[in-house]
Amino acid sequence: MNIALIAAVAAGSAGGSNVLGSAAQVVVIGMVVVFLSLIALTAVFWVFGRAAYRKSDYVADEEAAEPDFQPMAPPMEYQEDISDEIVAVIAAAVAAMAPDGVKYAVRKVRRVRGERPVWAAAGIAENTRPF
Amino acid sequence: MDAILKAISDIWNESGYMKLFTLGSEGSILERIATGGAGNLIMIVIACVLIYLAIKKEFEPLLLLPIAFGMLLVNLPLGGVMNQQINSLVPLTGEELVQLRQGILAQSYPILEINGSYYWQRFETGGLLWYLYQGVKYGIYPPLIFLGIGAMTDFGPLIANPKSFLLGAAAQFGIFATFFGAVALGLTGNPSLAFTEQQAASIGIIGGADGPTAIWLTSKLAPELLGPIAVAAYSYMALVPIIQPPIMRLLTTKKERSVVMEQLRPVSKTEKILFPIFVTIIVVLLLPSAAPLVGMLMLGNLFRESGVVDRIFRTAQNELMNIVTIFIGITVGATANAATFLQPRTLLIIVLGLLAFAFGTAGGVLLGKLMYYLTGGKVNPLIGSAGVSAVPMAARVSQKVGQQENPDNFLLMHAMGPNVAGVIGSAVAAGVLLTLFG
Repeated sequence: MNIALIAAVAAGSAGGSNVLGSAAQVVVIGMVVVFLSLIALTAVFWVFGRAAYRKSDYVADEEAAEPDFQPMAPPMEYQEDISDEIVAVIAAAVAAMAPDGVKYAVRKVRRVRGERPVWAAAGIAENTRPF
Repeated sequence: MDAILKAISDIWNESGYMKLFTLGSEGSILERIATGGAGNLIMIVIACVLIYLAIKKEFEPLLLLPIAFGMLLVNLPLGGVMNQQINSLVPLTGEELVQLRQGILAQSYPILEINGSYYWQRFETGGLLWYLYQGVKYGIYPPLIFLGIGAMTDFGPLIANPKSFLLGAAAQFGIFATFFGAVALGLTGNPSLAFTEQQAASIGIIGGADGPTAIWLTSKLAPELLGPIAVAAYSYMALVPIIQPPIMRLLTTKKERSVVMEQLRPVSKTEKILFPIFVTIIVVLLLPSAAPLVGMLMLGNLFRESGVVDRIFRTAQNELMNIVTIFIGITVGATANAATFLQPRTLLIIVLGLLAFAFGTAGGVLLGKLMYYLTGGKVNPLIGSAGVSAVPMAARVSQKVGQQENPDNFLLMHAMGPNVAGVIGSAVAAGVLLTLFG
């Protein structure tokens, strides 16, 4: 689309003296071109969406996927004074440290009484790692 | 003792401090302030206020901070950070020619002979920011920022609901309406209110709410206005949560604002990969001048969605984006020297920029209202205001205003469609203006 040519014709038809008329034509040309561009994109992606996506397929896929969400057995054992949040954090930490493709299951969580508080032990480990 | 005092006095007189308290030699008192050191002093205060807003109020700090610091640097007298590189040929004077022939001419620069005439080959290194500014001047930085934006943007909501493109188009009305207003000001007969068509187009693009696009277009059409336009564009982008809600409430009813929209459909990876390719082909064929912005935006998005260039994708959205943001911010700020910034026109540009934002917001909301009626009340008109780019701030505003009517309404993902469509729309609008006035 040669917009410069259209604008030149528009400016010419305004006689050069009608500044506001020319400016108004720029407004119209600008909005038309912007809308044409985005309407073209709307049409293309609407058609594409209709071709690529059928709601029934999606629903069927969702139903087919349901068996994957079976609860894991046996249930995990953990001391009652350990909250669900702590267990979730421990499970997430284990999952984060696991190499790709390896799955671990947390079977049991129990509190271990050590000689040194766990945060102090972690701090010492961090500080002494370079040595 | 006198010699020491004189030396100290000379150092003081030649320092930047002394220069700060001088006035220009020509024009009205306002012009003398703007062209003298006093103008620099005012600009330093403005730069410090912007630094305060960036740090304390967090107004677009990623850009406002480097812009404000660039403004500060360039207004420190004698710093020379924006001095142009000089590379010119100056003819030797008659006396210098005589000395040259006698072999006694002190050569401060190399001498070049062209067709029997002798010239000084004068070369002076430019300031640091002048070299960095070449990336703005030649339109290199804004497309690179678009590359990063493309890498960061998920066009999924737009693909799921392509009608959003239309809202992104309607919100560009602010650009063209402000262009019209700026041209109309020239009819008042007051020369200080008159703008050329190129300047009017550059002011109008503030309404796109897209900083890189505003800088890109202004650097090509009206580089002399780059400082005020960049500051206005980024200031208003930061003020979107304040500017938009009153307009949105004014143009919509409570019932319209309460509309809960249907959940968006899932978008496949294939659609997401094809999206940048199709947009590039369709838009650039229609509007070749938009190729740098749209092309880089879509390339960045293709990096993201292809999933096969993870390193490049991460570089585009992090390191490259950050580096270019520093360069563009500090150099755009450095264009705001006192002589160009302290003009009545700057105030006018800031007012026109606000109108551009308001008209853009209104355009998007009004088309949203039309869609509300055409779809039998399925579209919430509030998502239309997100059609001004300002990603993702404008979409958040739609969400927030919608939730004020209905706390269980989540418009964010619906508003992201028009929001990212606005980025494409403002790039197309910039391409149109460049084609018409470039």
